[in-house]
Amino acid sequence: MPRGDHRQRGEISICRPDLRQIRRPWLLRLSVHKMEVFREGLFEVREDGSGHLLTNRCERCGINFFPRRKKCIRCYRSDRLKDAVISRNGKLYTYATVYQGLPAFVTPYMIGYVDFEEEGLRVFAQLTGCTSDELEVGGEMELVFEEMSLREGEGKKVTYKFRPVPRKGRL
Amino acid sequence: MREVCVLGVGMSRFGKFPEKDLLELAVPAVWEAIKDSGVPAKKIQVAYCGNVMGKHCLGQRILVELGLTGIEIVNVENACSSGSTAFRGVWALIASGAYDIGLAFGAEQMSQKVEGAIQLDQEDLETGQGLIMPTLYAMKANRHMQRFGTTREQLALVSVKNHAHSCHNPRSQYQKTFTLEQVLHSAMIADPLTLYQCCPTGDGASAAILCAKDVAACYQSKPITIAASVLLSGRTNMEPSEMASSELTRRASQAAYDMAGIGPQDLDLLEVHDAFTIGEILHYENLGLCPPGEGGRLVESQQTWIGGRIPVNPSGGLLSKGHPLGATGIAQIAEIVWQLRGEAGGRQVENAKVGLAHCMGGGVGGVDGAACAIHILKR
Repeated sequence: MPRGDHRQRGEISICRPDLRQIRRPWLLRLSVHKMEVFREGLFEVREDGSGHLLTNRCERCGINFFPRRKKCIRCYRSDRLKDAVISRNGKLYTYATVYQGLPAFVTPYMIGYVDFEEEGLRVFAQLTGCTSDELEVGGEMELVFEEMSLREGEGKKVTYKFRPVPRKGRL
Repeated sequence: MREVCVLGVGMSRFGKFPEKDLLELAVPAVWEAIKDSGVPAKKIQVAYCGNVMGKHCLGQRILVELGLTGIEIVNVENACSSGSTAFRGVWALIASGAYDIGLAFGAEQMSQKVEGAIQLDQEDLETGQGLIMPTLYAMKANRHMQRFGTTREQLALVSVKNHAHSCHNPRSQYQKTFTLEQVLHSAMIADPLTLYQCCPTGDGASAAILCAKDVAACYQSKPITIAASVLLSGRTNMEPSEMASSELTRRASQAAYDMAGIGPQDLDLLEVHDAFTIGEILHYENLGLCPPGEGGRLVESQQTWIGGRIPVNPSGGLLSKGHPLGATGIAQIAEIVWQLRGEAGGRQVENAKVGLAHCMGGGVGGVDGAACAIHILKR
């Protein structure tokens, strides 16, 4: 049994299934904007598949909220709440690959938290577009909109996910 | 506030008993605590019942079987800390002078309801996208591994230790040892946490009789003093904090140490919330047993085994002893009481005088923790 952290050494442990067999959810750029959304009021997706997360900000207290709130959690008022969006890249704070999770989802699936430092927000979402060996804490992540990887009979819904931004110079 | 003691404790065997309902699980544990205390049952003035998944007014349903209703009875829920919350409720009423003698108990029947991981409330945004407890802790583990170099083997060692400890605990759900390889090769749940690194679901009950110290002498020659009782909730996630740490546990334990007038170096043993192996490692750091980032190396050094410098989870912890949600908090306290009295048999920590029980209830919208309860007991 090799010592040390398998992930850092790029080895695949014999106790995990072959990660290359994770089904990559295909990007449905042409039709995601027409699909039922996972939950209302969280994001907007355009015809070309791009979009943004819907946030708001209390100008009095200087705090941002995702999901949007009806009242600020600090001053408990709504008069200084301004709508905003996040459309740019964030940094991966941490992640995990789930083999036994919520029954509605196809496993394995990847989840993580992405940090938006300027807004002070940490967003939880599923991760996509890579194998778990390719994820790294601190890596730049971009927002994408994809069909949720739900099991047969659970319907079709679109949600926001994050995928690693390919680094310059990497193939 | 008056000093309060624990006079008696009781605990059922934890395990999967789908044929037993909550009453069959709880009544014997309550009766055991009453007999252990030396207090006549009719002298109990107040009772708190901790439970998560059961019926309304569970406390009354259980106590009616023992003919003990008529008194003040309160039912509490705080996820995994429900039992500790019940214990604290009784402590607070006695400490403040409202009553002299009280009963705290907790029970859970999960095997009739839950298979596999507990499914949290899917209306919660993060749960709806696939976040359940093992996945949350797996993310904490990955963060800790990345920041501090904690290894998969160090995580698994927590499970090896706690399963080994439980071989001496006849009330433990599991009572067998696992090797490091067996833990690492058990089914992967959420990378890096394998099956044996996640606590099981199960059924069970536990109970304690508390009494004001100034009347305890009538009933018992070996009262165990409650030196600290703290229950706090996590702050909102408006300002994201370090996930490889627990602001809540740090804050609660500091308050408990202050209340008891001691520091972590004065503890002889602990029962901590090891729902997942990474939890125990994080709590070594949060409770001040070692500096931040050193938790993995601490378990590897064997200092937290029975016989080591600071034994943690001599009962087998949640990982091996089991985690029937409402019953866990008081089961941890029962273990500390048995240890301090010298009644822990093959898992006895030598000359135990001061022990700490730490319980963390969570699972609410990504907040650090919903309810952290810390109790410090001494003889």
